[in-house]
Amino acid sequence: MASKSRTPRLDLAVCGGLIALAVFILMGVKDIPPPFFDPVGSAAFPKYAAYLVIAFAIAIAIRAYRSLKTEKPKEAQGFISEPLLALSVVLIACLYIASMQSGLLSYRIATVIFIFLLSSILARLEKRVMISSAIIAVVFGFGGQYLFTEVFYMDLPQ
Amino acid sequence: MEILNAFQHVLSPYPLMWIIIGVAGGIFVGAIPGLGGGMLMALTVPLTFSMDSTNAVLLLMGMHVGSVSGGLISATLLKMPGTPSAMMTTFDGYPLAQKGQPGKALSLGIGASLFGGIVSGIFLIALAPPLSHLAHKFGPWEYFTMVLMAVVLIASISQGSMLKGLMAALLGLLAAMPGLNESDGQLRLTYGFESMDDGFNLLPVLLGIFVMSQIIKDALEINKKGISISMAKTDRIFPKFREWKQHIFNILRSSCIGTWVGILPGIGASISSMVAYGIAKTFSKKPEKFGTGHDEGIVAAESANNANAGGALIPLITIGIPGAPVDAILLGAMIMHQIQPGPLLFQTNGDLVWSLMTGYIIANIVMFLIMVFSARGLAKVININRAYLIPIVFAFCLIGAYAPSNRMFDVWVVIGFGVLGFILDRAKFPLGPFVIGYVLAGIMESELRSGLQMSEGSFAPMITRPIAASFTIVSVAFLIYSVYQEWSSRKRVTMDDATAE
Repeated sequence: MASKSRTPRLDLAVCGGLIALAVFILMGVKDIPPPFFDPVGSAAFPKYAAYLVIAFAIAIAIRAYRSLKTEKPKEAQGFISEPLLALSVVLIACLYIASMQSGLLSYRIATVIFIFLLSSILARLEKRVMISSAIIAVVFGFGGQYLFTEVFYMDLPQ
Repeated sequence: MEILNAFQHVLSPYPLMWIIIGVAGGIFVGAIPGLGGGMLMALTVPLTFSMDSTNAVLLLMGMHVGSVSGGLISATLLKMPGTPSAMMTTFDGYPLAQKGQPGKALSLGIGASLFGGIVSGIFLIALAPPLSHLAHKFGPWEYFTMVLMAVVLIASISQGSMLKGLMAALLGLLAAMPGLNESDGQLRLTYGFESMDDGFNLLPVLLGIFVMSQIIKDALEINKKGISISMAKTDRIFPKFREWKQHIFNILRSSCIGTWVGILPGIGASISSMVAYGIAKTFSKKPEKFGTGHDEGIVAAESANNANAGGALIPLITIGIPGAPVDAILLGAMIMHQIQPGPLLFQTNGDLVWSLMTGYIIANIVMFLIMVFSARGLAKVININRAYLIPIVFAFCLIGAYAPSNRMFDVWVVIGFGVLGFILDRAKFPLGPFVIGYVLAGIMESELRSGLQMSEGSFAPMITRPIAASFTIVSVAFLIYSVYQEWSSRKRVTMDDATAE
């Protein structure tokens, strides 16, 4: 009852992850106390949603498996053209947050480094962009600190 | 009388200033492919905490109106829709610009956007008060079945597979489950982490899904550039009265379609423009010209996507259900400003509602003026190097998540939901149902539990109460229709394969 999957390999991987997530939720649901004043309680909604996730994930996976069997493998290179770039964006963001959370860097310095680094990577270390992004990074890092703390009264990591 | 007072208020310097800022900002981000209204609105919400709630809502609403219209510029001159809702505009806008008439393509789109906005603004003002009155009669079962209908509608109508749409909606529902349950005050799914006691807050989730996932996507497509068409100084952008007169029927029909699709809970502007474009082509005397730079195609797509924004405000104001995924941000902002959209909004915050409705019309007029006078200038910046923009937007996004509660946990939530959103998007899971599911999960659960308490555990009121029954029937009908659509599409594909072999 379903049309062909356009991304069968990825679908299979995502469905696997979603089933694992649903199982994780079902484990968490066990710790919720039973209902005491209404017929369903707090556990019912996440429990049945998790069951539905498993059911739909199996349906999507079956469809993806069928598509995979009948189609030529053309998606392998189509998923992400530049996976390293996506990974580096996430990784740099994680380092940016971790550096502030651990107290290693202040918002100002972390932001200057983050903007410069990310711009340079996205521009594939193009010299002209790197020079401009260095200026933008300093302006945004120091200017942003002033704007957020003095104008919007936000408490930034120091 | 209320409407006149509201116009007077909205046209006073301060609210008008916020509308102008919102619309101008919206047009700017809407014109740049990869940025969007949802992104700008989500980033701006934390900055509005210290603002007057009416001005904050006017600012965000202005951004929404501006971004929907701004997408027209890059769709016409770059063949890259600045916002998803401008996708249909590329079909005729770009070919017309290629034929040496970029000014005409823009002027048709800008004029149609204005009319679409005004028509839906009139519907908004005419329909919101009586619908709000009707919504007073809703009990828990009516609310539950209506939310169910909204989730089914958006999952069924979203592009791609219905199963994936439903799955995305379910994931959104699940994302709203952890933390303190408001129905009975119980903690759930916190897995012993104190930070999880508050669950995943609205703003970090929206920032992750709308902004972070888009940033990762943009980073991957950073080298993808359209072939830009430059505008000559002599190109006229101000629409001619003759053109408006010629297209008036198409504009009215497409605006009504846009408004109606907008009223259906959870469905965004891209669907409106697709439906309006399809109908305009069906009724056109020259359907074969669609896709080759035909005036009617631009007019239909642009009037419908702008009208959708006004239509989508109707369910938001009257029943507290976002008419489109982007309206979830407006809903979130209102809740953060201690305003609860729904049937009581006219009584509790009447001034705000009337300001919002009249402000919507003013925002469309402001949009028209800004677009007419700045389109030429914006045409020069749409190809801006995104290597500069992405890191700044990213930094704003992370600080926007941190600011409201000073919790680093929220910043990690942005990253987590951003990565999730990116993976789902790559696997063709629509993100709209996820957002709607997440936003509506709380109301859906609490209304179901209240309903079951009233009916002593019986689900029968879903079909025995007239209004609830009508929502249930619509939900089931849409599910059956979607299953049939998928089945027939599979049959078609199988037949095509057999023919090819």
